[in-house]
Amino acid sequence: MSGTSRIGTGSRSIVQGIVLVTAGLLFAVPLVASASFGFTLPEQGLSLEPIRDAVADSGFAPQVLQSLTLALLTIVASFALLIPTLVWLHLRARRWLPLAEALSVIPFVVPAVALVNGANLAFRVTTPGFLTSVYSLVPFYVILTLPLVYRALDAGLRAIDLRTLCMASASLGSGPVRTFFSIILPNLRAALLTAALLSFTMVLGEYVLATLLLHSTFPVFLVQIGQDRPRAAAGLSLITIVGTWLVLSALTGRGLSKHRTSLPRSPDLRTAS
Amino acid sequence: MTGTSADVTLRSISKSYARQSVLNDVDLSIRGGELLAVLGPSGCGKTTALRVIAGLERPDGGTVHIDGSDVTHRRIDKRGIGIVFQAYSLFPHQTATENVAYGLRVRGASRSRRTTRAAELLALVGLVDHGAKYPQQLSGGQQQRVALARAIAIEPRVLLLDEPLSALDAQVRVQLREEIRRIQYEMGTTTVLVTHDQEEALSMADRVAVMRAGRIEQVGTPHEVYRQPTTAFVSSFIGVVNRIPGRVTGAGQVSALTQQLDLATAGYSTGDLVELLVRPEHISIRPESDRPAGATTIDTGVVTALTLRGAISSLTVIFPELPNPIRVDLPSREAQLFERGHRVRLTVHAEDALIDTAAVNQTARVAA
Repeated sequence: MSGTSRIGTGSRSIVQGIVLVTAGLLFAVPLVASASFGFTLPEQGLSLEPIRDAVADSGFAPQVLQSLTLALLTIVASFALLIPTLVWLHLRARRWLPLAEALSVIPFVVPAVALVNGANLAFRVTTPGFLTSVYSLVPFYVILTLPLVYRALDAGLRAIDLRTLCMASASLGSGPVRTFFSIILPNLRAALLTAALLSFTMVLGEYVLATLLLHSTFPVFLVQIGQDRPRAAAGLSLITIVGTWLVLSALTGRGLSKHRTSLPRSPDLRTAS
Repeated sequence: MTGTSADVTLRSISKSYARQSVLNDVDLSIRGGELLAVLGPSGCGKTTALRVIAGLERPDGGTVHIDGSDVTHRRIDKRGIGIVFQAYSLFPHQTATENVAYGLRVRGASRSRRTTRAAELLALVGLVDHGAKYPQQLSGGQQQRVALARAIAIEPRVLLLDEPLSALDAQVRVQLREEIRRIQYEMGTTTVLVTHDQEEALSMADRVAVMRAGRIEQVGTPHEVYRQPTTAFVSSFIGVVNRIPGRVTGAGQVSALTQQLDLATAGYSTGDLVELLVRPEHISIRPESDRPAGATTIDTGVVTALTLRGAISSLTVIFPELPNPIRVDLPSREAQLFERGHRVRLTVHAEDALIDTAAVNQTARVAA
């Protein structure tokens, strides 16, 4: 019996190993290929020349800045919209949470092309100036990142005993605004970082909406230079992926370690009479 | 250390959720400086009553007064109350000191004042060396101590304790119970303790309000609610009670088995079947051969179990005529005289018995 169990455990481990290695290869091989293609020249071997060339392009700096600004604005707008809404739902209308969760998934099922077509039809006629501004992308990015930001924040709010913390704060003389900024937000640190990370990564890689709405962002720039300087595009893409991953992992790791220090033990939530 | 001691009055408070009445015309006066325990089973409305006092719930009807002022529509942060919750409610991102100082910070106290006061209060609750720890680095009992220090840091007019010990293990609970009582006594703050634990209520409170189904059944000192319960519910909810079938045989006369007891029978008719409620320690037990003078005795029973409970032991006695066994408590030294299988006689003193009004004429299965 125990022998059978050992065999079962062993074969399960092998399957797990195969799955992990396959997934790792699927993730790593394109990155390695990008690196080998982007950081070499046929005659010279290893070289940073393609990257230097791309960075020197007049479109590089403005469009990187553009994308960073858009990412930042998307995060701010998402948080401004979702944090108060979710806090209110958790405190006052928990029965609506399943509906809100279902609604938050809708962006996943509406293709970006359909969204842009609808936006073109609606806004080009009613407010022609709106879509000409690059910042018109922000609301669309908020919609696009909604499922991820919603889940990250919702998980953060479920991890704390929000009602009790708010009641405790109020009983100590703190008004709702102070409670929001002094108690709720600091306890959502990990969730906020995760949501910001997801938004940031998504916006920095978003190509479809930007190109269809005729705006120049960093991903659009990458595609454009990729047409005549594919090595530069590959190198820059890799730097973007790895750089974003490293910076935001460091941020998240720091935030999480601080959060872990202050995480409560599971509260006893026995039903009160 | 001095504190404030405000009177709290609830007048005709009612509250319903989804058409289900939770508080039903509740009147309650809490005297300045006293510790009043609101005791009742789960769902009786005791926590709702506390939340109404706190301002966390708005009553459907009635008013809440603190020191004579109507605070029914005043927000929680404007009522001058401190609360310790059942769930651990310390702010996870703040240290123990920061938690205790939070209320003072909200009130604009200087940093030095906050630090000094927090240190004083942590010392008061025995956690002087734990100020720099985060809540998750503290045990449950320590967290509740910090929560108590935080609640009293703002010098509340009324301190509300919402089952603060129910999540703790028995030993810590007893220890913290005594500490809360000591601190409350030193501070003199009017305190309302909500609990379903009768031992907690009886050992800590100056007065106990027993609630049932949204109503207050009895308010009195722990001694009064235990020794002189005014209703059968209070009698059976607090402590252990034996239910002995009987029949009203005339004015002021009830027979239990074949014996007669002098009991107040106003409101009952001759022939009514009743149940007598008698506490285990209010029954004396003697060997079958030993019949005392001047007392009414129930027929002979057989000892079926002896349970040592420390200084007290419980004997379980069965009678062929009774549906349920009778429990008798007596000092363990006296209990040694009895063994399983002994035939015994029980004596019930009429002044210690109460008729269960809810059970009138429902005991026909038992011959009276």
